[in-house]
Amino acid sequence: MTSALVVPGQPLGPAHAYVPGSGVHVFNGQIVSSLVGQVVTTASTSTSASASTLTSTPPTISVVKPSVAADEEGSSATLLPDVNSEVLCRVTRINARQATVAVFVVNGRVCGDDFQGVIRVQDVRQTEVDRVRIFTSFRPGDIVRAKVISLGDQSNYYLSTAHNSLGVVMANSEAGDPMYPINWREMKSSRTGVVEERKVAKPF
Amino acid sequence: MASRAPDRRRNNPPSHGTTPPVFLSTSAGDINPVQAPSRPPDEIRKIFLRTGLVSSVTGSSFLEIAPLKLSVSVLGPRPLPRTSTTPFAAQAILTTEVKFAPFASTVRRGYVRDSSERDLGSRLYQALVGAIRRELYPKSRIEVVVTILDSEDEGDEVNTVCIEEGKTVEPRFWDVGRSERALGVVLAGCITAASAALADAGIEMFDLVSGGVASVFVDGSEVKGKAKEGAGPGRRYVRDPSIAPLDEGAPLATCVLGYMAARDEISELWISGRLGTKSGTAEMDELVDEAVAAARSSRGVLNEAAKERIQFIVDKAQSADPSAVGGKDTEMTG
Repeated sequence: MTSALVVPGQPLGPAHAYVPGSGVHVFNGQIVSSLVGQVVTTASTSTSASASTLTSTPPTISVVKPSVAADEEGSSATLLPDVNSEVLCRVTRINARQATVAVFVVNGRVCGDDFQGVIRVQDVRQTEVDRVRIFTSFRPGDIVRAKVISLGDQSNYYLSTAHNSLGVVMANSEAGDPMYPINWREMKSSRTGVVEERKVAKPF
Repeated sequence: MASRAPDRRRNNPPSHGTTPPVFLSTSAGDINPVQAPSRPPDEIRKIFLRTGLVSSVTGSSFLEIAPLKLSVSVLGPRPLPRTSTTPFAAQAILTTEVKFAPFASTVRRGYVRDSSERDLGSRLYQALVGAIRRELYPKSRIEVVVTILDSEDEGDEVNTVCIEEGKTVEPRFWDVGRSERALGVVLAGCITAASAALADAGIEMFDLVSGGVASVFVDGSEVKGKAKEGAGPGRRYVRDPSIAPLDEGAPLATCVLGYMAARDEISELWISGRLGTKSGTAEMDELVDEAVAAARSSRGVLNEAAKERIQFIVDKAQSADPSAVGGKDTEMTG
C-alpha cells in the first residue's frame, strides 16, 4: 500500500488515526515523516485480537526509503546495532576475560563500518558459566553469531552467545583449514581431522 | 633556479613553464559582479540542486546558485573513533566542516581552514543539529563536509585593495557589508544543500532546514545622509542579494537564517550590519521575515531535489515490474 513520495516534515495524518511506525515521528498531534520515501500503511495484525476487533486498532503508518537494489548496501548505510540485534562478527583478539570482536553484519544486513564489541566470559554460554574459558570458546578469526545485550560503553557493544543458536559459525583450525562442527563444543578440521574446542552455534 | 637539484618530494612543475592567469583587477572602478539578469527584489535566484552525486559516501548533494557552487557529503552514522573523549554518546555526534576550495574565490585561499570557514562550519552545525533525530543514532557520529567550489566571496581583500592603491581610502558605500552578503549567500546555500544531502543519506530528521538570506538597503531614491533622521528614508528589502546591490541604495544589514518551514522554526539566525535604534526592532523583524520568505522559496526546490533521486529509483523499480506504470518527472528550477 505505497503512495507518493513524502519529505521530512510533511504531515501524514492525525496521531489518533494511526500507530506510528518507522521513519515517522509525532509533532503537534500529527504523524510527520522523518525521511524521504514512500508512505506504507499496514493494517494492524495483532495476534491476540480477533478479526472483529481489528477495526478498533488503527493501522501502522511508516515511511520507507526505497533502496537502489533489494540487497545493496545503500539501504543499510544508516544501520546501527541495537539491543537484541542479531549480529555476525569476527573475533579480533581474545584474553581470559573477554573476546573482542568486529561486528560487520547487523540483522542480516552488512553495515558500512565495523563496530567493535566484546563477548565477556560470563556471556559465552547459558549454563555452567563458571567453567567457561574464552580460549576454548573462540579463537581470533572465527566468525561468530551473537546477540547484542547492551550498547555498552564508549567503544564496545556488549554481545552474548548464551543460546543454542549462537556461537561460532565458521572457523579455521590452527593449521588454517576450514572446520565443521561435530557437536555443540567441538569442531573438526576438514583436512587433518584434528578436533578443536569452540562454542559452536547450532546449525539451522 | 636551473642549477638547483629537482625537488622529487613535491609535485614538480611542468618543464616548459606556465603563464600565471591574469584576472581583471577587482580594485578598478568596475566591480561588476556576474551579469545577473535583473529580478524583482522578492525573487530569489534560480537554484540547481541534485543529490547522490558522490557514490562513496552515505549521502551527497550539489548546489548551484548563479556563481555559487558547492558540494556536500554526509558520512555516517559511523562508529565513534577509538580515541573519542566522550564517555558515552546517547545521541549521534554531528560534525560540520566547511571548506572553500583554493580556487573558489578571486583571491586564492589556503588549504588550511581559516577563521571564516570555521565560523561558517559552526553556524551550519547550529542550523542542522536541531533538525536531526540524533537520539536514533547512539554511539555514532554524522559528518557533514561542505566543499565550496565557486563563490562571490573575496574575503576582506576588496577593501584592502582600495586602500592600498591610495586612490580611495573610503571604500565605496556598496562595499559595506559586501563580504557579509557573500558569506550569507554561501551559508544559506550550505544549509539547503546539507539538508538535501542528509535526506539523501536517509538520516531521520524532524524537518528539512532551508537557508534564506535577505538584505536591507536604504531606498535608492533617498539621499544617503537621511538614514539617521528617524523613520524618514525608505527601506528596500532584497531577498537573496548579490554582492553588489541591485540599485544605488546604501546597504544596512544582512540576515541569514536556517528555517524549518513545516514547523515554522528558525534554527540559526545571523544578522550583521546596522539598523536604526528607533525603528530597529521593526526593521529587524521585517528583515527576518524577508529572509524567512527567501528560505520558504528555496524549500520548494529542496523538497523536489530530495524527492528526485528516490523518484528515479521508484520509477526504475516500476519499469522493471511491467504491471506498474512510470511516475512523473520533477521540475528542478526554483
